[in-house]
Amino acid sequence: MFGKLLLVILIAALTAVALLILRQQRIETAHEMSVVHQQMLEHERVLWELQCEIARLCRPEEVRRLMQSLQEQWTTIPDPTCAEPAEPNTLTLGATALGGAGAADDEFGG
Amino acid sequence: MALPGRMPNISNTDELQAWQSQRIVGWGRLMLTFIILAMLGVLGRVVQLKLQPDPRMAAAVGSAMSSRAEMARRGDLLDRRGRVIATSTVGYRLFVDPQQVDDLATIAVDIAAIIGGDPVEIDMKLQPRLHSRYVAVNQLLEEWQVEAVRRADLRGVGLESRLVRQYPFGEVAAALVGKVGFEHTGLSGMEHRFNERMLPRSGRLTYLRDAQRKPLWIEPEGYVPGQDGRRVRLSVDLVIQQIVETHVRQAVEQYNAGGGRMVVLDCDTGELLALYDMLNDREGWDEQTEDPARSIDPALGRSRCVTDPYEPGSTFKPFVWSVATELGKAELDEVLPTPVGPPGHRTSYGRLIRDAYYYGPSTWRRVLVKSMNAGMAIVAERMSHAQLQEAIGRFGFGEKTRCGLTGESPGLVTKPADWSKYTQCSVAMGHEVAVTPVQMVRAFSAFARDGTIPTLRLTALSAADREYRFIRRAVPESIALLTRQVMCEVMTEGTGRHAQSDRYRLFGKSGTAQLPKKEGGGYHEDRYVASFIAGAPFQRPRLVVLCVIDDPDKSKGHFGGAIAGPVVRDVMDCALEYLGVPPDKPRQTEQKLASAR
Repeated sequence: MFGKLLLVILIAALTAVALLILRQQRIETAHEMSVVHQQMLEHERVLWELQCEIARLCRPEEVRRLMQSLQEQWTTIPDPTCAEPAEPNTLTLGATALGGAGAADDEFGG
Repeated sequence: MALPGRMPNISNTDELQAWQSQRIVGWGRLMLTFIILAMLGVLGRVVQLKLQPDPRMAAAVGSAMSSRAEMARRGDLLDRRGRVIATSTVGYRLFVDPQQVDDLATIAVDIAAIIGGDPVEIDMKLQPRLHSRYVAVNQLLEEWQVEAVRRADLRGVGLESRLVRQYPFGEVAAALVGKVGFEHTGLSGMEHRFNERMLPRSGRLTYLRDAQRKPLWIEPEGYVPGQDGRRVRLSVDLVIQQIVETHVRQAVEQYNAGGGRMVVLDCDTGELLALYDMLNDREGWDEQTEDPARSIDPALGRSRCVTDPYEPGSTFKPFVWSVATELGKAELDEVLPTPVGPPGHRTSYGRLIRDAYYYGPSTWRRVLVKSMNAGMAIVAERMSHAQLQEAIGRFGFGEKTRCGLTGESPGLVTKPADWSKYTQCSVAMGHEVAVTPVQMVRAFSAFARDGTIPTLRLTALSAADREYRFIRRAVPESIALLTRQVMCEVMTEGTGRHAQSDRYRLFGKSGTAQLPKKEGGGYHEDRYVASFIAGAPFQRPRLVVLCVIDDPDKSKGHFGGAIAGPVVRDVMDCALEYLGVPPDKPRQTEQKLASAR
């Protein structure tokens, strides 16, 4: 009888301990969720900043400046599928319209 | 069952053991019963607290729940090619909770030491609101200031994140794009026009927190994510816009004009590729056009391309000319009795019509090429008032284009009841009528198309939205083509000679109208509005470009063909080249160009 009583008390105690452990895990999970959420917000903030910076750097005048500074390093890649030399294409004309130096057009043409 | 009590007088060992066992069992059962009752009691109390808590406890539990808005981003504004015109990023505002600050006397100095700035100014913001729990000290911190505040970790000083609108292209198309206000809602321009579409929907995070405000638990329904606003893709191409702004600014400065306006329209689709207007404040000039909002911020200014009508002068003649030709009021090669010299032509009611130059009797075709006021007056008198009024209406004058910009004016067209013989001849020459630049390009595009005028749009056509609607047919296709051909001659033999392009065959018309006095009572003798409108290329027109130079300095020049014409030509050349439209001028010209480069 005493043994059975002891068993009941033991089971109750174990149940209580298990519930406490679960509660603690739940609290820790909530804390982790909160931390991850904060990290997500921070990443989002950085992403938006980067998108804005990319937009600034992709402005036509920035691209033009970059192209002009890299003039000597530009080489045209011949199109392996083309049997005949290509006609002056819109890229050439577009580069001119963007105000790129006239000499740069030759490097884009053909 | 044996209950606890005094041990009975038992000598037998077996009986004694039996009694002791019964006693233990009895005690055990009593304890078990007690434990069970206690557990049931606790369970019952938990249920009661959950379902019907004490009011004092309910208040405490309620205040342990916190809620926070989840920031969502306002939609981006893009140009026709997807370049970002306006986007939002996160900035930080510095605030102080005076109730939490350790030492109110020194907090201003501490903050100034961290972020820079004047401690007196900071203190002046705090002092009147010491009872408050939130005092904004700085609206937008820079990155280094944010880091410094975080490192300092002052009690009662916090950072609040807020959305900040960024414009990567700076002031390009500022008036068109507009601006957002303090609450990140559109105040002007496209930011205002598409505010509903771009507005984000903030989310919400509700959580249980402890006494130190740390989150304890978030229910599944406690998190509602924010919804970003939708992107809007405008029809404006920022490269063409930059081309336009550069050229108009140069012309306004060169001719010391009061302002300049330009519109570039894709006549095929009705998309407005560029809209620009500027004002030039000249010292000593009276009756200048003003826009007070622009002096506060360029993005708050009105868009004069839609709000400010002007007298078109001779640029209005093609519209009257085409309808008169359609109605058979004059044949193309019919010789009209236009005067050989001053004083000019007398109308049937005695009005004297003057011209800048006189060519003697000329064909109806030549009337448009040489922009003869006398010739237009002669044929206008052959039309009835109703016919000319209807002609104006066909091209959409006197009604708004509904392109989407706020404050649009329908222009000024004399009412039929007030229409006189005087009006008939004036309107035929482009006077006594006021139009906006967008109305002009829309109407002119009838000659660039098949005689129909398109719906103007400020948003880019999507691939799925390629079927646009034309508003109405202004003139038959044959008449539109004929007018286009004659306007080509304007560029070679007429007032558009200065605007001839080496690369593209333009067709267009110049206009030089006297500037009306602001207070009424006629026109200024020596102040003008110079304009030029053209389309290109001739065979398959792609663009219509209008340039208006307001009030140029007459000592430097004032004719539309000479001042506004070259601007239109240069912008047309650059824009068509940028769009990849091949030149349609003869090949010899190409070779000359290549060798010149």
